[in-house]
Amino acid sequence: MDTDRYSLKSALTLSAAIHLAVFGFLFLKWIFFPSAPMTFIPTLRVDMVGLPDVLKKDLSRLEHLPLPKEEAPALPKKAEPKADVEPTSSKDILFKPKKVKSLPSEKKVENQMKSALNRIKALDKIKDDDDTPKSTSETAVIRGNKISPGTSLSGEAKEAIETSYFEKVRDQLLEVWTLPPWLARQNLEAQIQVTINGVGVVTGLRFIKPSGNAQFDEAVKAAISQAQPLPKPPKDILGLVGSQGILIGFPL
Amino acid sequence: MKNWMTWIALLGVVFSTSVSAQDGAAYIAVGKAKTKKTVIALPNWIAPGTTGPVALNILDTIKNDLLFTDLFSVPDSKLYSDLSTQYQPELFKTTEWIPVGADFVLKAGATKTENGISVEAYLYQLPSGTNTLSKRYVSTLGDVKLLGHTLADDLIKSITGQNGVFRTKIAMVCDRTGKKEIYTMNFDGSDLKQLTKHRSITLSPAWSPDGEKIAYSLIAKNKKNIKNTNLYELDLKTNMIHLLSDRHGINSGANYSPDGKKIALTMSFLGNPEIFTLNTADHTVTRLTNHPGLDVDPNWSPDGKYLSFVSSRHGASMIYRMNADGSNVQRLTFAGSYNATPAWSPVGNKLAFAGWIDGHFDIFLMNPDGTNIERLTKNQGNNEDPAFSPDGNYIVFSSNRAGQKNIYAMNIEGTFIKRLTFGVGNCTSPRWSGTPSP
Repeated sequence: MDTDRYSLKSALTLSAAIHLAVFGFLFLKWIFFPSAPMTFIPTLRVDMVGLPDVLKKDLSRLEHLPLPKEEAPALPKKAEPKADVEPTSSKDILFKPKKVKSLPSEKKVENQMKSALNRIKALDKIKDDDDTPKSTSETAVIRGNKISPGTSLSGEAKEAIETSYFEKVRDQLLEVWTLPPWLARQNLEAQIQVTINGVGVVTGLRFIKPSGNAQFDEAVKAAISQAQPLPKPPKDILGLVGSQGILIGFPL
Repeated sequence: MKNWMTWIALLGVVFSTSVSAQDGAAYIAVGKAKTKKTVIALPNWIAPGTTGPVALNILDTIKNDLLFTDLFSVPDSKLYSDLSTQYQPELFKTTEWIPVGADFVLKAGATKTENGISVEAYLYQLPSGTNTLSKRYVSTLGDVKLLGHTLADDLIKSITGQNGVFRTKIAMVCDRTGKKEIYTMNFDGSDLKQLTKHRSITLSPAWSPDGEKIAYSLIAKNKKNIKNTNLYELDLKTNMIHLLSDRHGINSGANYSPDGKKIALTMSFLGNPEIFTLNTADHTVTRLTNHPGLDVDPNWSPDGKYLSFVSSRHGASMIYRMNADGSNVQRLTFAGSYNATPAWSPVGNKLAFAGWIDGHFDIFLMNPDGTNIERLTKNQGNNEDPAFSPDGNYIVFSSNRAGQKNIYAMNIEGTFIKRLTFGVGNCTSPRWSGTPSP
């Protein structure tokens, strides 16, 4: 019993020591060799499309078109035994004509076409992603079926929301980011961290990497000030930008 | 036992979460800023009586100096003609100047003195209204232009933190008289002066760091009646010319070291042209290059640790760099068929040179390691012999785009250019002096 306790104690001590060493290493690495922040790269989202688009005016025309008559394929003729053929032995392979499926009737084909058209009409009721206004009945387009973007906020959907928001923030900052020529020539750089509240107001700003030039740093602050209010963060990343903040590089 | 293990576990959680949190921060790169000229308002000064025209003359000098650069715009004075002209700091009303849209306002008053004029100048930054410059200037009536240039330099210093160039000069070689002589002019081409009258061929002027001497070469016959290219130094204070080197052959392309103790130049008294340094105190020389190819056009880096030069050691004339003692020669340019006259920016971050391209010379910029070559001139004749202004923002060069060779100044982006010489014949080899001492 005492031996067991001693072994357990040693094992726990060793485990704790190893964990402490690993965490300590990671902490020191974070302090002295911080990894590069994740660079924001705008992404594209492509939806898959199934059926081709059909214009509404063509849809009505399709309903009245006579259905094409399909000629039934000619049935293969039954092989007639030749009169002078001697009876075969049981070992010979007997030829058996294939069974040909009977063709669907015209009525069945017509029903299939109608159900397909009804499905298209039903899909037409699904709202599109974009904001394009509905066109007139003459030119309205019945979209081919699309994979729904879904409502999940994990994975690509969440990344798309973040991407769109950060693009807007960057565009708004770029509008007001100006420097006098003598400062622009000096190729200075600065990085700041800002936190943003739910209405787009910057609640905190600190320099992660000052430029070393007071006028340049003041120009950075002026750009943040003049760009406000920034775009309102979507609810799903409000926590991110409100607490952790965003790192912004001027110019890179 | 349990307690300390609990603490270790908690610390581990804290460390790991903090590391992962920072590594996951989102990052936005805003991109390159738009540039916007600084707007400086120059209302009329308070100048009673006979000082009025003099004050206006000084104000015009300041305005022309600021507009010579590509850094400022000056709004029409009609926009603020009805605003208060009182200039003392305690009388500046910030609120009345904000609608003008200026970034800075210069207000001043001039009074007559026994020997000339006294000017009190105040610079205010908007929208804060902070007084960033308060200074009094005194000069004789004959030096009012210099007073204006001095005040303009102080404005540059106050606004940009850099030294102004309005009291600097440019030395060059012109053939107005039919012979090539050394001339100087102000930074804007005014106040042209002929310094030499050798009635021969002078070459390659170079300013000493203190701006008090100019070294140059002269093709003259020696005692044996043989033409030789000798090196001379003109003392601008005493107007005396001293011989620095008449060694056989070429003594040309002088360039002072930043401390003024040495002159780098091309000499050929040992055979083919090589780079030497000449001690300005005792005129002894030290050889830096030793190669069968031609080595010419030396130019010091602003820290005095390196020299750029042109060499044909690998065939075509290309730009090279070496340590100040001649060691560690590195080739910088590989493109083009002929690159010449490298000039190091006083800021240290760029080299300018003339490169042969499309059948003529054009001015190029590159990093000191030969990367990032940018072309500054194109399709406008031959553009040669670049030299930087002391603040590193401008380049002077010789160009025949208007027919004769004239001196031009442009910003380092190549987007803003001014012709400086008119009617002085063909002018070449411009060299910009340093900033005068305060």
